[in-house]
Amino acid sequence: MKKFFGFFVMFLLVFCCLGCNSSYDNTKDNVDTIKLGSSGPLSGEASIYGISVEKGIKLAIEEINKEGIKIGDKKYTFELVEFYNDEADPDKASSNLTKLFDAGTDVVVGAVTSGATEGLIGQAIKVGIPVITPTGTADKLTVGESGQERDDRYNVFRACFYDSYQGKYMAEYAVANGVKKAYVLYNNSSDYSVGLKDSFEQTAKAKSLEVTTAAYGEKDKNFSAFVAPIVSGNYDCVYLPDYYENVYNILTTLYGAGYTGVCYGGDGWDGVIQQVKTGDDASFLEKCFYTNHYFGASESPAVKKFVEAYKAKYDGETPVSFAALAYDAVYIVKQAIEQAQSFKFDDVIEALTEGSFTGLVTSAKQFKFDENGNPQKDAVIITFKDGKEVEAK
Amino acid sequence: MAFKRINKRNLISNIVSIVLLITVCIIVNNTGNMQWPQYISKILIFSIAALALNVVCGCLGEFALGHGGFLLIGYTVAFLVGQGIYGLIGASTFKDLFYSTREGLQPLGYLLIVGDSLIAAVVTAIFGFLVGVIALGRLKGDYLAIVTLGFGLIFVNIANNIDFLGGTTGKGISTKLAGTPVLYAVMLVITIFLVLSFMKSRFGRGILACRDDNIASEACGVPVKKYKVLAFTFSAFIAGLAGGLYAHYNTFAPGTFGQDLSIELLIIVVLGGLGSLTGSVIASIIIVLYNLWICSMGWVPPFFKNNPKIIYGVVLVSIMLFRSSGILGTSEFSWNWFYDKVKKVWKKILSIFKKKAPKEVE
Amino acid sequence: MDLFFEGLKNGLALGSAFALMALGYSMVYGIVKMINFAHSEFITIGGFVSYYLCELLLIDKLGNTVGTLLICLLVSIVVCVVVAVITEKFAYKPLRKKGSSRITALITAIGVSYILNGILNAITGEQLVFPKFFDSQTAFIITIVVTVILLVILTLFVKKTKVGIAMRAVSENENAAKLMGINNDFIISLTFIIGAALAAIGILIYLLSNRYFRFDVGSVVIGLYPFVAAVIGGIGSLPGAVLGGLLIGLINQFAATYGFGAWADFIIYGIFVVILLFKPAGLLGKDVREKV
Repeated sequence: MKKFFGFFVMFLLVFCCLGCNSSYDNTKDNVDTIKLGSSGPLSGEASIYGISVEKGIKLAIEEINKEGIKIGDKKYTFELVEFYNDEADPDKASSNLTKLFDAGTDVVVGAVTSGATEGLIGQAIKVGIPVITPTGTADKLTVGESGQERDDRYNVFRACFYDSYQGKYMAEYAVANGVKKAYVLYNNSSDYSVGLKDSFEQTAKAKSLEVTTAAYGEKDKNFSAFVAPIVSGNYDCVYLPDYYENVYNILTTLYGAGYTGVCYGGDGWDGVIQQVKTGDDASFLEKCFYTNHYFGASESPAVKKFVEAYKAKYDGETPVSFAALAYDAVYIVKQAIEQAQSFKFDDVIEALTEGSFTGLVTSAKQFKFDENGNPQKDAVIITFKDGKEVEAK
Repeated sequence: MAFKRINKRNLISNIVSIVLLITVCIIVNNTGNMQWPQYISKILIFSIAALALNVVCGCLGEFALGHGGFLLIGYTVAFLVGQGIYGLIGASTFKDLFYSTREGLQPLGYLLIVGDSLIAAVVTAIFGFLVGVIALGRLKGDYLAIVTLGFGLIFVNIANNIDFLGGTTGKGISTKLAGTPVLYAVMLVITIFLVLSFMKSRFGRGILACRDDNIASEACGVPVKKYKVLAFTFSAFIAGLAGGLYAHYNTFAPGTFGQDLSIELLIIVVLGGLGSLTGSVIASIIIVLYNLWICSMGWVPPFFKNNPKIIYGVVLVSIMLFRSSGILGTSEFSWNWFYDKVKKVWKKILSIFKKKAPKEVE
Repeated sequence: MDLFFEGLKNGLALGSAFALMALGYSMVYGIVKMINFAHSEFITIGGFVSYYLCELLLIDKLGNTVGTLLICLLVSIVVCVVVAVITEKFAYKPLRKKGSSRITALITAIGVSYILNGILNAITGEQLVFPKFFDSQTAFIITIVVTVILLVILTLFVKKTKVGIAMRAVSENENAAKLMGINNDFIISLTFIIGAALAAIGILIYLLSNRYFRFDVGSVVIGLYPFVAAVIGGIGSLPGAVLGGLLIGLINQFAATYGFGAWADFIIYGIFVVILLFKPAGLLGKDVREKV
């Protein structure tokens, strides 16, 4: 009797588990929505980036749905299944992917942080769902740690630069501008920062540029001690591959301590100008340069349209590169689906691999993805003049 | 801990539970649903880790706040071994022999996972032994708890700073060699069996004596220090095993094995009841599902979704205030208890109907 | 040499802030025998109150003066104390009355810290910038002066006043203290109050030099440092907590200045473990032998 009872209870549990299974069906007979899903940090230290990405995605979906996406004779609209909060944790991100997959998502535009994206990819490669990360910059996301796993990760793409590219670009710029002694102060708790530092250091060494590196951690917010050796060491260039909040903090401390050289950075700097508070003396910004995907005040129609639409939808807030990249990622997906005339996993992936993409905010010219799923885009160098951003030559 | 005599009835109901657990895992893995295999995998791995901590907290009576460090050691060793083999035999051979995303896990792949987890467990046990020898002899109570916390933080810091061991951004092997819920279920069953045998052996009973009264046991001839170190080493072994399996579940940065994970495991153990093995399993079900599943459900208002810690904290405080011995206290879950309770309720329902019937007849 | 003095100055300033926070941990642990994990949230709450108040007052153009700071200090002390008293009354006291084990108290403290952390996260997850009051030289001097004054006041309080002696009595032997007519509950509440006040002062001192912070400044950035400082210096020893705090601050800043910032934690936790293993009472604590 007891054995039977045990069986009974266990089978109940099994049925509960089965009941939670929503069987995935990629053919839509009655529905005309294409499902997008995303995952990003909506709470915690990285929340500003997750929130920016979410805003970019929602704006793009809203715009695209006005016209719809044409496949054959039918018009489809995008539906955002959910923007799950992953708190930049790879385990939550991978569980978010499983939830998105079970809910019938067609394409995943996520995650936001490289670490979380790696976790998400772990599950995504098991089912071959197309993933395009708007802001995951770590090299290994599309090619694996060994650099040779592209055929396992054939379904992973990114809309942003990959770390090696940006670091190399800036190091070459530094050499071209006559820098002799460079100091790299990086954040060793951020994959982005470490990646940029690695490629900057590598390129600099190859070009015989003297380079010293030093790291701070995620806890460090007071940089007086970290800038002391820079000021006393007569460096003419400092590379700060971190995000804008820390960067502004470091810059004020650095120049406040008497540094007179130039500072370089990566696309994470986008947003520094908004950190300047009224009353701050930010003239040092004129000595600062950073690589970005696009120039926010550019006259190009795509950029203007995006910036105006973003400001209109979000109470006059100026978008940062995270939002622009997320916006573009959604448009890339739309173009891929239209080129493939299908939203099935393999068709979308093929379109992403083979197709060309135009008219985007973060790329002035038409581009294709290279064999590693990275977009072949050029960087622009931004600097500052009179409190505003300008393009540097 | 309640030691039940192994009699025929218990044995059969236990075997039935095990068979059903494994059946559930097999079914869940083949439904095409992705969420539940992941939740169940994490639950099983955390159960193993919680059991490791339970050996120290429930049986030894000491609190270790640094078991995350042992999981980290297990994780690191497992992925290093895996990487090593991958590097040695090359990608294509590896995929044919062990695992590829398309084909899934080959039989040899199962062996490899178990193998590198066992190696991870042994290495972690060595570290556990060292920590145990250094710390257990001199300290107890709060100071011991704090020093284990310190060791845990040191391990995390070392792994953070040495790129080979993961660096701050984390390395792993879960994309090259991923485990399945069935495998974890089998490992959990083996772990439960190991822990039970340990507890029932001379060592186990000696350690329980130490927990209850240190000085009296010493006076009775129980070599207290030796047994304590042994228990700690065993606990580190199991924690290393869990860490090794964790490497096949997902890729993590060493930072995730710090204070947060250690505290999470401690919460699971206390919630389930110190000394109760099934309690740890049940508690890990609750905690893992809360973190991964409930927090993202549709009906949760955004305020709580983005700040899940508030609810977590409220639940913790409430449980500590109202039932601090945990869900199961020191006893084990048994079908007998469950069956008796349901029988009582059933009888009550029947008696209500019996009371009504005579009135209607009239 | 310049670098050395830079490191020294930063280290002492940071260390003093840690010292004040460590005093809170040390007193609570010494008297109530519980590791109050929620202390880090008290610290953050103090920081938030000071920040928002400064924003409010500065908008009213009271200026970046000492006066504004004092108002912030007083209000943040009051808020922290209120939070501490509520926590003690509803979460910790019932457990003490029930005679629960230490581990239960620990987990309750963790639960409380999660709740407070979640609330702070909900208020804002953004980076906040505390307004600049003094340049780094003046800030340094103020920090040291305040710490020394507080240390002296506290030592006098604990050694000379009746209440202070009662606190030491409760710390030595709770039951004997009760028998001597000391109201243990009152003493314990007072301990939490003093601890919370010190946390509020400590975070304000910290923010004078470290203006950028978030909701996790107490739990992650400052994290376990005050606790480690209290243990290194010796639980229950006031000068010990200060010594521990200064030591940690110095290690942290020298490591940053000389380029091995990533290993600062390793060194600090290493010292922590070594002290626990070889001198568990801490650098300035008293060794107590257990009697059989």
